[in-house]
Amino acid sequence: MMDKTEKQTETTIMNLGDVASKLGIAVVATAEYHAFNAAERRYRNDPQARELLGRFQEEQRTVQLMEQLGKAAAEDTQRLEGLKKEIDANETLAGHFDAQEKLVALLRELNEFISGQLNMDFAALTKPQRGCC
Amino acid sequence: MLTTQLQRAAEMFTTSVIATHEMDAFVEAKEVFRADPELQSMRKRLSQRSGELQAKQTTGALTQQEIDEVRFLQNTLNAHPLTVQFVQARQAIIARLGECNEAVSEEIGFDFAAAAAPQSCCG
Repeated sequence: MMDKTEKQTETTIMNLGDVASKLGIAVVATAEYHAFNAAERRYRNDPQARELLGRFQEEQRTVQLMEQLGKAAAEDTQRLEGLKKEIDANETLAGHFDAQEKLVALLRELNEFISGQLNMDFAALTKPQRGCC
Repeated sequence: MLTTQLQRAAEMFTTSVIATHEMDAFVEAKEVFRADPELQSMRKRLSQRSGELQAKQTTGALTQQEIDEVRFLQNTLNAHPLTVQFVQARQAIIARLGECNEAVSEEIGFDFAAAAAPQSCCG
């Protein structure tokens, strides 16, 4: 662990963009990032998993729309539940979601640490703005 | 759990942000904005009148004159030089942090802030 003077000396010779890049590089070096990358590659190379997820997402959009219109039928919901079970049983997708969840948990923890030091929520202030729901 | 390497990189990052001119200006502007007696009084008055008018709105007793009065109070508060200074300082530090997020995101290959921000109603 560096003392404060050492840290300040080190950071003054680098600009803020470089320090931010180093933070990104430190994220890339974590086990969670490696696992996510591997799971992402496996997903991209598994056409069956991609097709299954695509079908599920399309079905989910349809059911949501039908629900909004008050026209959702029990068979639509059952079909969606069936696809969800297939997704849960698919190793590629389960591994992909698990790796994604663990990486996001790490990034949230990192953001909490940064935000605590800065006394402001770094990610909430800089995330892309979207219209509210 | 943050690794030692990650925590060290995060500490260097926050130390660098805290050392920026934008962060200094923001912290100072925020303190002045919060402590100014005139602004404190304006905020108190606005909050009080807004509460009273909300109660009136539910009973339908709200008048246009009262709406105009609250708008005037809000506009006066927003136009106060110390409020303007605080808002500008806040925008400047957010812009700087946005550049940092871009630099982190470029390394990791996706938007750091979008993935790490706390969940809100908008996701």
